[in-house]
Amino acid sequence: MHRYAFILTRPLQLIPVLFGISVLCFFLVKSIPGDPVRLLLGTKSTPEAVARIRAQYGLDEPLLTQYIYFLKNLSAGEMGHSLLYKMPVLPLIAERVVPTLMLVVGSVLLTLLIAVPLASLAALKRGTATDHAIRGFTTAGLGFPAFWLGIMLIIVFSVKLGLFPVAGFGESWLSKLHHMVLPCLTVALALSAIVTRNLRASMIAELASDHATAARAKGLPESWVFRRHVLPNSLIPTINLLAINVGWLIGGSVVVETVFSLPGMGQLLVRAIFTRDYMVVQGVTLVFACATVVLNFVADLLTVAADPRVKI
Amino acid sequence: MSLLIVRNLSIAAGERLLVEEVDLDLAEGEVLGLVGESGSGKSITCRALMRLLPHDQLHIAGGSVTLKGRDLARLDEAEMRKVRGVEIGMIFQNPSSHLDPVMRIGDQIAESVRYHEGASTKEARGRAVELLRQVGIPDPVRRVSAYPHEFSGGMRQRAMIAVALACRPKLLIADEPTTALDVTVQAQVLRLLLDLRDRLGLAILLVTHNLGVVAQTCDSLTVMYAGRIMERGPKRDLLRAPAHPYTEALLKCQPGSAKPAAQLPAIPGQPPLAGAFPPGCRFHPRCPRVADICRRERPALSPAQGPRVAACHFTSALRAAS
Repeated sequence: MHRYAFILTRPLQLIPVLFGISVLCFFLVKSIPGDPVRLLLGTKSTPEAVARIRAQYGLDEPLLTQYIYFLKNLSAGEMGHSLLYKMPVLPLIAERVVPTLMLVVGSVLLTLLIAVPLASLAALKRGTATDHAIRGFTTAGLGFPAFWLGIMLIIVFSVKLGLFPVAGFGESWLSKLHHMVLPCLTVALALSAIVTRNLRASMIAELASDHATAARAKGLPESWVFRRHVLPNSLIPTINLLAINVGWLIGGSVVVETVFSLPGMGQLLVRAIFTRDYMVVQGVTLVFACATVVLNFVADLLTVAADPRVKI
Repeated sequence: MSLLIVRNLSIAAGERLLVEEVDLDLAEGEVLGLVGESGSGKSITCRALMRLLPHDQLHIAGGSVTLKGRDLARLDEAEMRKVRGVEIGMIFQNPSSHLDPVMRIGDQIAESVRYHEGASTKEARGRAVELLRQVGIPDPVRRVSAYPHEFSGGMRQRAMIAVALACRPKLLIADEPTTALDVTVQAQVLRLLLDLRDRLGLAILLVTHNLGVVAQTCDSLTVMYAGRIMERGPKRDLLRAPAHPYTEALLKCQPGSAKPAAQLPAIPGQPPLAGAFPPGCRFHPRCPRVADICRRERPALSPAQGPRVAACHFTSALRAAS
């Protein structure tokens, strides 16, 4: 079978996964304590009004029936109506996709931009002051929580230096990018700490590997050996590491979007949870779950591209 | 005339000497076998010739490595890079780990051509195809794009030979080139090495602990034990009538030399750990002919018979006995 054949077979495997995700999303949301109708109508609402709204949204039906409705609607691309925003969930989410997508992609790119040079430097200057300084940075990056780091970045770069906007999202693409720098940096600082450590370790192993010795025996200079042999080999475990952290990355976007008031899916999710906006919570969770699956697929694709030995 | 002359080479880890007073002479087209048990210092001697010792652990403590009149031990790193791959090629014990798993075989052969000769990608690729053909890889035009894991063990060793010969060096250092291969493939690889020696006038320093390999390929032999040379001379003489008890013991351990179904003899005891060598003759704790003088005095390499030298107090006595 061709090494890339899984591109065709993987979607088939996704069907049971997506089914599981839908079940989990539905019942998890149902298990959140609190009554959305009461929240919607206020505490002084009459029992009749509550019953009417319940019937309107199908909330008086048995759970299984509600789930079947949910699936039926989902297959038609219909995720229900938001109680809070009074509009369909799907367009509501669609509006919020761009900031979250930019945050995730930007964070990964920025992570690599930080981690690859730092890890290379630490591995090549192993045991020196440079190495220790970089280790200090990674320890700090692992220790500080994202919300605190975000606030610190805002204080330094936005409030004191005025280089970046404090919060929000721009209109033009350029302005959007400008608004994304600090949020991406917040995620990237934490993520690059993990990635730098792992990458440094695998680089040190690769520098001492037999094939690096063989490359030196060809008379190639150290910089060539590093670029052509050490780097490609040590990036392979890093791709896997990033793939493992995809879920964390998406979860982290919730916190970061809240800190930076980014109008993304994470912020939408937080607000929906507080207001018991069932349909929205369900919708966003579903999208996040699917995104995790898709990003893992992308990671597999990258692994296959980077390592000719891998078959999936 | 000798291509490579090594004199008095010693290698140390910090203050501890691991290899002492090694002399090697290798002429064009000659195959010199460097034999000894694991830990006798063969491999680090090879690394030292290439100046590829892990520099934070080991260094050349003294002696000279003269290749075509130039002392490699005194070259700086930039000059040494022009020697590696260009004047000396090196192949290793385990071809699977010494080839980059994520680079195409052809690129691994071509990269030294591109670096040293500034060849274009296309030229270098052409050379890679040609080299693969030379080392007996079938269908080289297609195989040049293969990855190491798509090759068998024997083909990987052939590919590594092609990598080592990419810039047409005159000297090939082969560090246990057949140890990781199965027996039928071993013979093929050795035949290939001899064939290349004949066609390219290659000098080969063949490191091995397998005397069977030596018997098939080498012209002369150097036997090392615990970092020192024990015996040196033409292969035929050495294998027929060893002058040193260690050589003799090694020969007795060959599967072919024991009676069928009899237990294979082994040299009693273990070789000493690097740097913790016994006083006197280093082989004396395991030597069947050990006498008082062996524990006290280290025997110097002295002429044993014809061009042969051995480091044993009883070399002449041995000769008289046989």
